[in-house]
Amino acid sequence: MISMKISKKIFSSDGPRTLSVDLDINRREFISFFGPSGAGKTTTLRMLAGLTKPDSGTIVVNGRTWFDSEKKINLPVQKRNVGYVFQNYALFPTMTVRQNLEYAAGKNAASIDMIMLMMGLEAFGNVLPARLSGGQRQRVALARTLVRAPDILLLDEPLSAIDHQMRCTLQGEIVKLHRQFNLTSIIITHDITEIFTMADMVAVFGNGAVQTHGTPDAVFGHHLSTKFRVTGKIVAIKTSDVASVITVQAGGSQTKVVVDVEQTDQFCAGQDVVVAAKAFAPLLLPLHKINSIDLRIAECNTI
Amino acid sequence: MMIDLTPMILSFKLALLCTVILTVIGIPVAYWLSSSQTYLKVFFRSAIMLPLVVPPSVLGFYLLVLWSPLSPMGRILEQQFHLRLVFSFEGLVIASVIAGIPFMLNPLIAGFEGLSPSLKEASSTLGKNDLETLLRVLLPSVRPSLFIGIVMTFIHTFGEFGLVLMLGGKIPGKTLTASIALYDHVESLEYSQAHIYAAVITFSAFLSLVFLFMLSKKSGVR
Repeated sequence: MISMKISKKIFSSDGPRTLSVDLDINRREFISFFGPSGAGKTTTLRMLAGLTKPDSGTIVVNGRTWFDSEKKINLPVQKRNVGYVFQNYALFPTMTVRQNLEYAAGKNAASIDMIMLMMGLEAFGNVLPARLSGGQRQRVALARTLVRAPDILLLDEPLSAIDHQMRCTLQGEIVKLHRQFNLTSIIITHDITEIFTMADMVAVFGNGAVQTHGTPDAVFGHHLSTKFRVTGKIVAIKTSDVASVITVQAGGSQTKVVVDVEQTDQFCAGQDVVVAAKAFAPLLLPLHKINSIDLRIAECNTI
Repeated sequence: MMIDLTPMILSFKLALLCTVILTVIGIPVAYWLSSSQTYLKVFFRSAIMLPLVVPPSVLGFYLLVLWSPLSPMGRILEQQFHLRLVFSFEGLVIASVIAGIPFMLNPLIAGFEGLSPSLKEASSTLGKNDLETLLRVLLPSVRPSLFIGIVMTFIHTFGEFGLVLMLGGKIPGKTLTASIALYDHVESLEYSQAHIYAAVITFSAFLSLVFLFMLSKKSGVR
């Protein structure tokens, strides 16, 4: 169990403020830190890792004091056994993928082959990080932390610079690794979908403190509805004599919505809107299974 | 026409020694200066640049006064350590190290400062101490800067004139380096010898550059 009661003066875009974090994280929990930029999420993660020193307070992990400002205890980062995945991956540029892992592993070198195989990196052993794609670099960064068999995995927006499809794949992989390695994991993300996909718990940061802490359903539950709702952006409005057709871009697809001419005035191109169905439950199909036949069947069923 | 190669060998020895010493001292100092938050940083950075701004003859003059057997420091060096730094090769080495500081340290500091701080932090989270991080992660990453420092220090020391003349005199085999020998020949209107010295110095400098760049290419620096 991780117990943090710490405070630190931070400098956000609104000027200096004090960040006070009072948070307990259970062992083997996957928690997400959520909140606006400058709220102190990364600072909290860094304080737990030992990369940033809190001004005051205590950090106790599994009964061992890592930091205590009064008792002048500050366990060095090297002794905290945390795996930290940086936003920019921080792979060592002059070492190949295997050398990166070997450097990290030290005496745990036996696990390198197994982890490289598990992460699909066996073909990239002799490749320098600069030659890898974003998703591959992220895998190497994860593998590099895992060869040390850490107790805690800290992920600082690890998927922010990766395309949508790779992000979905990596989300699943991270959750799998979290379970397989019996980790306690903390991920910083701005993506609510990511929280629902990956995390057991979420801590919402704001105004220099943890404002809410609970399961994703409990924290974001009041936004949930069984009715079909998709947020998107208006890309085009075509008006005829009887109706207007508004094209909304939502995710990777476009939807045309027919709107009464009189209501058209309240919309403009570029506006963020919600597309919602009033009554019917929407049809849900996995994207990769859809082909033209499925689509026709789906249309027939809907009608 | 026979030409005395001793000044060339002496210049080469001086440049090589000075480069080796500055490489060993320069790496930890540059690393410390690039990562330190001390308010004295501005003072240190200015001190490093000083030999570049002050004429070599001025530096030579101050060292001559400081190390003279008549000065307190010169007396201590001579009485306690039996060391005379004026008009000696040892003195030239130390003086050249001082004069070469900016050529080695500036590229190294720029190299270290250009690295992402997360490299060092990642290495720390992987359980490595500062020394291991420096030697295995940071130093290989600043290899291009290190090679620039080595080349600049070597070539600058090889051709140093004012400092060597002021502090070393012109003692053959001890302090008479190639550029001083060239000057001597020009002063005596022995242009044919001067031509040979000038050509050998230019060619040696060029060869050193080729050698170092080949070395840097071999070690993966692009």
